[in-house]
Amino acid sequence: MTKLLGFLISDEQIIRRIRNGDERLLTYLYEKNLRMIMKYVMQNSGTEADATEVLQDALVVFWEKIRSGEFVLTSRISTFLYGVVKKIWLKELARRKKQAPLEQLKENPGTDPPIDDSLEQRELSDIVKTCMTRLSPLCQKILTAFYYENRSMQEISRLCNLANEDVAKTKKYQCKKELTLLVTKAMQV
Amino acid sequence: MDKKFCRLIDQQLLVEQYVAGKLKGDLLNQFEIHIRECEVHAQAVTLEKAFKRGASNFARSEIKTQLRQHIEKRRETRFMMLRYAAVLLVAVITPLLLYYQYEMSSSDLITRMPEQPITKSPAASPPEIETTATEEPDETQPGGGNETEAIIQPVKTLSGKNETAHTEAVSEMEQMSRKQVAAPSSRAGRAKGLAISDKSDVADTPIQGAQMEVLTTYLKTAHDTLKQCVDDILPAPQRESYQIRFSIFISGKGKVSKIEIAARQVESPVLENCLTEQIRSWEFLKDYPPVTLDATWIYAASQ
Repeated sequence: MTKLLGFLISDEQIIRRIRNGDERLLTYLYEKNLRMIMKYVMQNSGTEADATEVLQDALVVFWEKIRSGEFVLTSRISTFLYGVVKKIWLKELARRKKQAPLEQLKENPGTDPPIDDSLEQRELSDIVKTCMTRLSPLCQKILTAFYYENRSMQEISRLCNLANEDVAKTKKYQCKKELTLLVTKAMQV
Repeated sequence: MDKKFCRLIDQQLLVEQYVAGKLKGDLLNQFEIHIRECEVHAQAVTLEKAFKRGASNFARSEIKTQLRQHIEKRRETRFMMLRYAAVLLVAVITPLLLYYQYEMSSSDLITRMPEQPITKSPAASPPEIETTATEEPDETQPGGGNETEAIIQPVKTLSGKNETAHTEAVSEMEQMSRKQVAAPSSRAGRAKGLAISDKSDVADTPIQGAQMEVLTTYLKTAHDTLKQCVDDILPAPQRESYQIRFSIFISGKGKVSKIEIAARQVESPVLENCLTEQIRSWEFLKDYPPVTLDATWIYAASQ
């Protein structure tokens, strides 16, 4: 089925559909590239579980790039994913302090996360991530749309079926207040 | 200016715009100078950055979770489809195999029929069959032969009695009792003390023909045993002319399930019991359809 779909859908169509929010194509890309990624990761001190994890991370990066509008297709999607996987895996290996193959990758600023990566900041953001799971689904949706997808309040009001922009702003303020409370409590523990 | 600026920041608007990278120009410069000096708003910026990063990580983990769920669902669907396909395959192939096996075994039975060894009753010892060099009696004249011989006439019937055939058989027996019976020609050859009438038109089907061959063999090999019954029970004057016509019902397992005496020369329940006991021990071909056979046994004293 995956091979058949590959004949029917091009890379441009995939990007277009992902840009419109079609998450199912991520599954298609996952199945299509899994074997190649698994081969690479397992040849470099990894396991099958590592390969699936890394590929999923790479697909999320791919998703973000396309949704942000920053992505420009200069090669095949498989090539892009392979490059992202290599970078993620080498970082992971460095983190685990295992011997990695002597490969030097060129730093691609477009795929790097934002700087300002102090330990305190990372710990605080981990706490925020944990506290997000304790918010209501509506708050999760509003804050995700605001911080991750960078949507305007007008878009958020439409997305969350709120009356208007002002209602969305008020709701966002309430959600942030609740999140602040949770984070403060978590930090005290 | 600072107080006004502080109030603006307190509205959280500037903090959000700063973290989002939307502040530009002089406003950006002023803000950056302010947060270097104002600890409260510096912490607000730190918290806002944590919110942004944390919410983004949360969103990424949700995407990964949904991706895993999609992948798992596709695997389950694929596995379920494979299971259904396997069940369908078994459901289609098994009846075909059973049917094929049944067809093959049926054709095997038919081709094996003539070669199946005939089981003999352990009580009966096959007598020696000798081909005599005597003249052939004149078949056309009554009493053409000097020998009194047992005539074994396996006669085919379908299951269920044919009354017309029985009536004819009885009258035939009566005729024979008044005559010296001529040994009819036989494909099997003539034997001392025995003659076999082999009516080739007797068996309509290969199954009946096969069972008939078995019966013919028994009548040959068990003759002495049957003769012994007559010798033990009947007085000598009655022995020589003794004849009995019977029907045997052969079951699908090759056993004699029923014996019916159709006609007898002498009324003797004890004798008939002795004869039927012997006949009941005979074993025919197994796994054949049930069949009824008629036979006539005639006592002949060997000279």
